[in-house]
Amino acid sequence: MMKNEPNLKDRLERLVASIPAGRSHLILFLHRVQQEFGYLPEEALARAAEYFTVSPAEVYGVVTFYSAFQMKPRPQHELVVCHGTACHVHGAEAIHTELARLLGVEPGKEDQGKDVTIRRVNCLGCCALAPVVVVDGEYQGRVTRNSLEKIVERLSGKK
Amino acid sequence: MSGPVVRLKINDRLVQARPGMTVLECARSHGIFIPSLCDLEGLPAFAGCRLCLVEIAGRPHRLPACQTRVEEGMEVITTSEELEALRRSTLELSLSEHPNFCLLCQEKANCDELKMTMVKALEPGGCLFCPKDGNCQLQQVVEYLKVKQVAYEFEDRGLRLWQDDPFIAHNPNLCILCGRCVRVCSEVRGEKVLSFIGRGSQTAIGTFFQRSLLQADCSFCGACLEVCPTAALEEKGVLVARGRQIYEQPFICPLCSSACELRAEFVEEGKLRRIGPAPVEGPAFRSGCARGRFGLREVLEAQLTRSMPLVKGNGLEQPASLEEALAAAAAALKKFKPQEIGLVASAQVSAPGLLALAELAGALKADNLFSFYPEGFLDRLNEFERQNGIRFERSLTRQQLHQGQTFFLVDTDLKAEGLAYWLELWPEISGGAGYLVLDPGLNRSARLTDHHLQCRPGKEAQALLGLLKRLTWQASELSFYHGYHELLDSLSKLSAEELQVESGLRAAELDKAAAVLLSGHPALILFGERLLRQPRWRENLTALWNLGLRLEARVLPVVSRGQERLLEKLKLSSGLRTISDGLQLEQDIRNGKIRALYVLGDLPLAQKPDWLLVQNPFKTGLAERADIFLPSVSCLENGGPGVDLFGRVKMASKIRGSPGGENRLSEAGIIIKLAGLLGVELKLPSSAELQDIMAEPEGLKSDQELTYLPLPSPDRLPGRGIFPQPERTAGEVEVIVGQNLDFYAGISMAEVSSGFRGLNNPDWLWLNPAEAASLDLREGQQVILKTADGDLSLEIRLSRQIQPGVAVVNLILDTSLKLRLYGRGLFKGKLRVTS
Repeated sequence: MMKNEPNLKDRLERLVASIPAGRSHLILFLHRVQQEFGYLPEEALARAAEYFTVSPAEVYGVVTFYSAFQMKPRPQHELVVCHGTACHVHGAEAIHTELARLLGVEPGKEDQGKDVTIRRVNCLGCCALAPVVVVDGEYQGRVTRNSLEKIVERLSGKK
Repeated sequence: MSGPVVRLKINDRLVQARPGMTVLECARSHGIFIPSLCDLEGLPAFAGCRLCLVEIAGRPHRLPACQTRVEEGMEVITTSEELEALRRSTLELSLSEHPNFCLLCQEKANCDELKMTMVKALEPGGCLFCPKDGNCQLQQVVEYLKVKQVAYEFEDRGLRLWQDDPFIAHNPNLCILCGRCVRVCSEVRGEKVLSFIGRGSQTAIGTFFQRSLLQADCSFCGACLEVCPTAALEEKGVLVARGRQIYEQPFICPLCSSACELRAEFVEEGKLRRIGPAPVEGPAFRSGCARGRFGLREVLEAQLTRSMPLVKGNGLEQPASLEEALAAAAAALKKFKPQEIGLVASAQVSAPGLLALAELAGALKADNLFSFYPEGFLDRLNEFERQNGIRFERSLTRQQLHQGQTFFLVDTDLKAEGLAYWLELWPEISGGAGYLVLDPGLNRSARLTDHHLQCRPGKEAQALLGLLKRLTWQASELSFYHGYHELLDSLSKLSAEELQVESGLRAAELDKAAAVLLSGHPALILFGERLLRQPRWRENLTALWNLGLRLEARVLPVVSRGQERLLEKLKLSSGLRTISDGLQLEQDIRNGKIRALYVLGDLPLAQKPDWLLVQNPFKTGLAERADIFLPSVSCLENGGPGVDLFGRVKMASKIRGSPGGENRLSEAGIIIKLAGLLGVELKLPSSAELQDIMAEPEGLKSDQELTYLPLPSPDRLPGRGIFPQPERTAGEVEVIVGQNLDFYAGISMAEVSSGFRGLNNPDWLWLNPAEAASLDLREGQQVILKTADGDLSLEIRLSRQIQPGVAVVNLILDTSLKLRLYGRGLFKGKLRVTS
């Protein structure tokens, strides 16, 4: 876990040093932390409160207000299944269910205990490629049952 | 109405308002009711509940009255069919998430006879148990708006109940998100523990990572309980009245110098139900703290049985009536020569009690009149002032305090030691006034500033001189007083670098701090007793005085106890002497100089005289060994007066008394009666006379020339000799003994209250987390602190506010060892893990 990572503190301090103090910069700082770590570790929130002289409760309030912020590390792999109109017509629902079955993940649930998560989005804007699944940031178009199995195999290999 | 006036019309009625008033305030001041739930006098407007929307001629939208300022010629409509309908539908939205069955119950008209439900809309706290029943502001608004039904299905939010904290329970399912608690916590009390967490329908009141209030460093001041309109925040451990009559007893809290006006509630059998704030003026949420509200309640609850007077005869304790006990006391006192009689008041006695004891000593011609004053704060200050021919101020008015543009706290945790000052200071600080804290120890008031100078313990003088050195170079527009050139001379002899090394502060920190001090003029400097309770306190004061003069700042001591300033006055007017420990007294007893002792209150005393009388609310501590024990009423019934930090004399309104309390005598009352038996009539000052006693002599400061004090030569500064820069061995710490006011009448709150044990445990030893880790110590671990005077058994507690190599303990002074360590203020110790 990040918590025990020895250089968490140093990395945080580097980020702190890059931003002027004053409460108006809090959100910018939080964005940078999330960019750096992929999530907002508790230490970062405590440090932010200290540095921007905002109460820890208020920092937590801000973080929980914006859904863009997340406080748990992302799983190793993220699969995004598009449920836009075109993908829906091309069987996104079945693909989602099948993907979940293959990976043993409950569909729609961001299961943090696992190292894979499946996320549902409404449209990715590449309807010509429907149905679309994004595997760790890589767009896969016209997926089929077969190509799903390959994707899953590849993921297991990558682990 | 004097001063400028704004004229406007509310509901076609011509009314006047002060400029800056809100429409809601103006309406209220003219008896015009506008419903509202989030607004509360004394809190900044929030405009969250939308119930106070009004129509204003010429404005396209309806505006919240709580946030709209009055304007000349404004025409406001506060009620109309449309407005009421709008308010009703707004309220229905709130009610869709708040259990509303009791609000809309069909049997509401017969509520008192029929209330029987224990669970209301899934919430335990139905008709019978909702602690706010009858007092719920939601109920009142529902009544007013005549809401008969809610258009939406009730949605149970199913949020977790907060029940793990002491004193305060939180049921977020009853919360209507009015935000009063968040505002009072942040903007009035400066705690900033509560905030809105989450968004939309998920929003709830909570803390950092939704931790318990204890873990979120809440001080449990209880202000949130005062403002909550529903039962979302409720006091724990309140005795349910359930139809029984409640007796109210106003009193002045004796536990600190803020002298809050509180009120105790009893139910019929004389059982204490709760203690809450009840200020004569101003909002309730500005009064009281955990100590006065919860700690005192638990101490009094722990002493369930009313103490009886006791007289020892033939070695046996005999219960007696007060008359018998007093007669026995008078007879015994007559047997001693006046010079053999000693009278001692403990630290928490009431002002009338202290005055009566002084009068009694005078009448007995006994010149051994003492007051137990372990801090010795004003004693030292007096001594310093006499030696140097200067005078610090002792109190200031609220207006004078608000004149300050920059605030500098030195060795005082103002929130805990001077609440009345803090509540005035905080809005200024959060409004942007300069704010600097110098304190090597634990300081809650320093949490929300990054200008917290944490010098090495006992090196305050160096830190102050480091600041002074910077200030002499800057701000040439400030006045020069007598002795300035000598000051410059001696400052030039001090090496800036050495001051930094000694104080443990970096140059950049001191530069920044100096800039804060100069950021606004005038500055106000408040210093606490810890600055003087250390070996080189004179050097500290010299540096502080010079710094104050350089800044043209007001410099004041913050006394933390109620009677400290009265003691100072009494020392001048009567033969009163203060004692900071029992040593001299014990010696006088041993060699027979003092044979009879009258102790008012409780104090740690190892030596018992031939004859001992103890007068205390409870038979605890020293009273166990007394020949005569006289129970005086507790502070709840003593009435006052008390004097607060601003020098205001506060008097509890007429004592109504709980049942059975009518015949009992106050602290002073017993002494007066005893004096009567000795043939003396005592006269106690009225509240007005007390005001005169407490008044500051005018012009002390103005008729003498202000002058800088000569600085100690560099080798007289603390650090050289006291703690030579050490090669620290592992486990060696410099221990700061903090101020702990959490006790009453000889009983420590932590001893009787598990809540207090979790809040401020006198057995905690605070350490820096990194240092604890390097010593392989965990939080909660038992350790022995070895000191030159003896060992203490303590429990490790961690705080990032503590520097490595430093430890803080907040001892309750119940043994002579603790008293000795407290007197030193600062000592060296070594930690050893208990197996």
